[in-house]
Amino acid sequence: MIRWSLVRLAVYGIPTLLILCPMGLFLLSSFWSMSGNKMSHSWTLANYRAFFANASYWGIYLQTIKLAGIVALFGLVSGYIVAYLIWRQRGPLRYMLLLFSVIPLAMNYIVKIYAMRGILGFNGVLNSALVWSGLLAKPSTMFVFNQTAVLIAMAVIYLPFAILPIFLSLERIPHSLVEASADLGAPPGQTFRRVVLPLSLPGSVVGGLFVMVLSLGDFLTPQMVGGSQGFTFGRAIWSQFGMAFNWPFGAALAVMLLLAIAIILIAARLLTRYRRTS
Amino acid sequence: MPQHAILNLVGVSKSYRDVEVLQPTDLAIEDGEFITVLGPSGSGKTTILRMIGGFTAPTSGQILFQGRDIVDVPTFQRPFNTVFQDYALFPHMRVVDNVGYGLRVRGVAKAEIARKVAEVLQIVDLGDKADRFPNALSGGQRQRVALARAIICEPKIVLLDEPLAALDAELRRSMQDFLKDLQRRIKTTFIFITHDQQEAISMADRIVVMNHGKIEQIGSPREIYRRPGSEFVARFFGENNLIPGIVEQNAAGEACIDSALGRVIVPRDASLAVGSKVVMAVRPEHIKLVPAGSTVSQSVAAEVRSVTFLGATSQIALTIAPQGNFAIRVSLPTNDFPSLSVGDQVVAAWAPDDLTILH
Ligand SMILES: Nc1ncnc2c1ncn2[C@@H]1O[C@H](COP(=O)(O)OP(=O)(O)OP(=O)(O)O)[C@@H](O)[C@H]1O
Ligand SMILES: [Mg+2]
Repeated sequence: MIRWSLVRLAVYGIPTLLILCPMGLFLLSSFWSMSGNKMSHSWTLANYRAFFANASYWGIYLQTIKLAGIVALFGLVSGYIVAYLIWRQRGPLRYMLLLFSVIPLAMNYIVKIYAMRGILGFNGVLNSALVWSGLLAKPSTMFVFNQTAVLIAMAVIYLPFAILPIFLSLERIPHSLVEASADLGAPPGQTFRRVVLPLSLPGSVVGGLFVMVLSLGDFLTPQMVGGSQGFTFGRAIWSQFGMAFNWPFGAALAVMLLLAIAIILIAARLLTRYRRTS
Repeated sequence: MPQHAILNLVGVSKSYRDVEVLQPTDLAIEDGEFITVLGPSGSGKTTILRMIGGFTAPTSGQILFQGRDIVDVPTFQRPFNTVFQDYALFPHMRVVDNVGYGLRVRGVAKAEIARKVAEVLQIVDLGDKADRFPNALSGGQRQRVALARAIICEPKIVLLDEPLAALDAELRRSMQDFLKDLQRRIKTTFIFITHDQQEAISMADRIVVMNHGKIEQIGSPREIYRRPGSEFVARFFGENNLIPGIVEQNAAGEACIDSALGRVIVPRDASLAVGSKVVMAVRPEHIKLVPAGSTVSQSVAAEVRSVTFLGATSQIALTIAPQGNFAIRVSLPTNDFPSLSVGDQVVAAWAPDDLTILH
């Protein structure tokens, strides 16, 4: 008995400790402050006050949430389309396509960002294609070193993170339900609208939220494709740690981000709770 | 009763890669009949049903509905509805919405749907469960929702793939009665798959017996019981004593069969070549026991080896005296024999008409 309890304690306890300890430390240090080059361990709300008082932090915070929301929406919609098309295939083609669409997950992050820079840059693939097709007279600076560039890059990089959960939620729908719908007289479009979509939507939205969480905290992509225009909250946090060396303030910003993520995850939880399965 | 064929399978076959799971099959189904498809696992029952429903395309052949080939007609345009083995109820819809689904996709007016759903739920006795979700129903209730959903659009044919397999014995019985009764009331053709021969007998107007991807025999339950067409059917459909023998000619020039039962006179017109090997089938309940020493024309002396009490009937295993190693089973109403014990000498007798000869 006692031995089992110990094992269980270790199994649950160690990961909890590994996750909670750094987080707790963050939370603590967000209530500290810097005096000169030293961290002062006296309690203060100054960091949070600074955050709420400074409209530019606020602005970046909300703008980043909005950015991540758009990236998530893009991931949800185009991820759903891709996942659905893969799901409709039968036989080996299906798993080949799935594999191809998730291979980017295994690729190095930096490589992906550089690839996106190559595509979005002034002389990049996207501009060349638009000029070649006659849609643009000359290469545009629209896709580089601004918020749009960050948005497009993140949307592309995080797409596979949406495809996988959406595919899985489609895959969970018993095929007999699709057959039953056709059997009862529903043409394919109605079967999709009345059966497939409602049953896969909750899982898909969770996939979208997953993308949102990932892009909320991302500072590398904005850094590398965003330039000075593409500032995000992730970069703000990073600069407090890496450049200003104001760890307590950085921690307070991180806590604010965590708060946003927590709210998103609770929303996801509520969504899945109301999903009905037999 | 049955008037003319509503559905005709003509040379329908199905292969997966190079494995033929259904040999070219012909089958005519009459309008308004209750047909059961009976066969062991893997014999191709579901395959036939899925091809009728349009879920699987046949490799070759035609499926004629009212004379028109429907092989290329997609499922949603076929006037058939299916009761799936796993019920396939939509988990995100309440019972009313599940049942009304077929009407809703056809764009029937809301009030009309509500009226019909209420009516059908009444028939399946689920009026009080209308607002439940499927996961809050018992197996039997889900079963009836699936049934209600399948009949509400008044299909020309209802397809049922082992719909009762998941139910316990008692519920099964009452659902059998219910289904049979319902089918009579709505006068719709039912094609009902089962691998339970008792179920097939009690429900069917006609039974299609399948084995290894082909139809072994089609007939009324009585015909199949009385005259199994093959050794497989004789074995699969109820109990049978199968007795191998060789066709001979007796002194009077009549054909008879030399077997463990002695020389058996062949019933009526069996056209048998002398010297050919045949198998005779006789059901345990068609063998009577007469006291030792009786002389009956069609009989054989035997010894009681075991008596098994089964309730209303008892099963008696006999060994045939001269051979000593050939066993037959006899089923008798328990009240009909006062005392039989192991080792008793008896004479087993049968009527020529109860013997079926299988080639
Ligand atoms: N998609 C498929 N690919 C390959 N073989 C298949 C496929 N579907 C069915 N089969 C094969 O076809 C044969 C007949 O299958 P079917 O489902 O018709 O049997 P059944 O009579 O319904 O059996 P059961 O009583 O177990 O349901 C089986 O041997 C099965 O393995
Ligand atoms: Mg089957």
